[in-house]
Amino acid sequence: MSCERILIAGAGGQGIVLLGKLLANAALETVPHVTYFPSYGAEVRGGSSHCQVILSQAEIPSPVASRFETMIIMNEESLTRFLPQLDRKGLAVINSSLCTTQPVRNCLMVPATQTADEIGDQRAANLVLLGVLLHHRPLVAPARIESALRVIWGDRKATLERNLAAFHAGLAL
Amino acid sequence: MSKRVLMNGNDAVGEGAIRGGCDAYFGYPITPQNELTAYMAAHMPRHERVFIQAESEIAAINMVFGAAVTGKRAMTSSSSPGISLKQEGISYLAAAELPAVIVNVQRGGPGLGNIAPSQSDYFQATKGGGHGDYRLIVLAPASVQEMHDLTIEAFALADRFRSPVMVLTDGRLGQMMEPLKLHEGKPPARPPKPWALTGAVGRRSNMIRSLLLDDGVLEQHNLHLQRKFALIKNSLLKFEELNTRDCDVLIVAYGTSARIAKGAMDKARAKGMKVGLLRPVTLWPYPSARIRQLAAQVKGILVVEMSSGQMVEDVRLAAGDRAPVVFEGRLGGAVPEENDVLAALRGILRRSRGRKLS
Repeated sequence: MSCERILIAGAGGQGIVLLGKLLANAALETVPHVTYFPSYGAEVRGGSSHCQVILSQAEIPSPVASRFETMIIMNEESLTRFLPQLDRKGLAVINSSLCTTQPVRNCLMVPATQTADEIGDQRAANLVLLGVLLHHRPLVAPARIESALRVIWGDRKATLERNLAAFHAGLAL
Repeated sequence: MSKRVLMNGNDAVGEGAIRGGCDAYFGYPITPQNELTAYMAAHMPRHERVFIQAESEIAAINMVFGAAVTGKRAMTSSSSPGISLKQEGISYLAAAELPAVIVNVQRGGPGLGNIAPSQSDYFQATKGGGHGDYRLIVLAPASVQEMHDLTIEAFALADRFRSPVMVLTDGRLGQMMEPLKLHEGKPPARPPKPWALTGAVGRRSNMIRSLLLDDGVLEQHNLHLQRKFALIKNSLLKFEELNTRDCDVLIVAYGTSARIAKGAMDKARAKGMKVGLLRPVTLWPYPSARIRQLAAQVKGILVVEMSSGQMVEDVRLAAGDRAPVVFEGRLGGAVPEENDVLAALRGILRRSRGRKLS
């Protein structure tokens, strides 16, 4: 991996920003250059939300890319908007629970919301998708994601367990 | 050595201010610098320091004035429209020779503009902004690390020169997260401030004001300020130079534009084009002398900015007729792309070959 440009997109409230920060933090110790960039401004729950993470061996001139090697897409609106920016050799992990379009190329359709729901918390769908992504593209060690989750959820044991379970379910899919 | 942490630029400024010994922060919210105000709201009280969300930008800058007269380290931050509101206060700070730090996380203008990153407040920051004959020390970070480091340095410079100092950055650097190492040492040393209003027990009372009506007094004060500005010009200058030793084209750019320019330079070098970069870190004082020197050795200079061309005027003044100066920029919150810069570099090299042939 010399430079990996990652887009995470979905709706406000789906944990888009959290997922981006989680990934960037997990890469901190192993990847020399890391940037994270949010879509900022009047963001609201249910509105469009996306962020970008770039992992690179070389300095990163711009934290904002227009082509991506990797995408995590969590709803239909984001799929329509961002999939054309996927690199020809790229990989998109898509939440099929909330997308009706069936993309043809380089896409992994994952029923993430449904999987997370079965675990007991729909809100952990983002971690299912991250698990699937890291299974196919080992950008960072899963253990680093797990330790970052422990820091975030701290003493909220039940929430932490559900998030870890969702992440592990994704890794195994 | 300290560990790398991931922070956005706004937070890195906030933590820099705290580690730089900021005693009091006064702010009023505006995108894209809100994280900074929020960071100070969360962290200043924990360090038993002052955080006040003022009722307006104008109130905030005057609270800075009030804190600075007591000898405390004070700071405010805003984004372009809010910085315009603060100009009267900044002029007063400069007149009264009060140390203070002002952070401008620039967004697209004029007017309320938008919330996208911009560099169109260069004139305002470096050429006055407020009324009267004054200069502002202006620092321009190009990474989250520098957002942190230069904020700390801003407090040192403000105290050293008894002057307001501006950290001039933009929404992209404010919003982006990047790894950085936090300053682990002590805050910059605090020089004695015998001029401060601290209660005149056992000494003559001090007076701090900018209204000087008596015959000739204001001119004398202005001459004194000009001597100070000359001293700053002679003792403070920061810039970064890359690949300038053998370059045919020199790029001059600061902040976010300098990052893009560096990316373009690396691509150009890989294609065999001899391109160098000069990145001013202080925008005032400006590295005019060095640009003048380099202008004599290059075929052309390319200035890259997120504006219609503001800093380019300083580059033209410095270069004179030694080298053609070409401008490449985007306006209204747009950011130049590496390919735009590469195309401009190719154009300069093509034209310089044409001149030699004719």
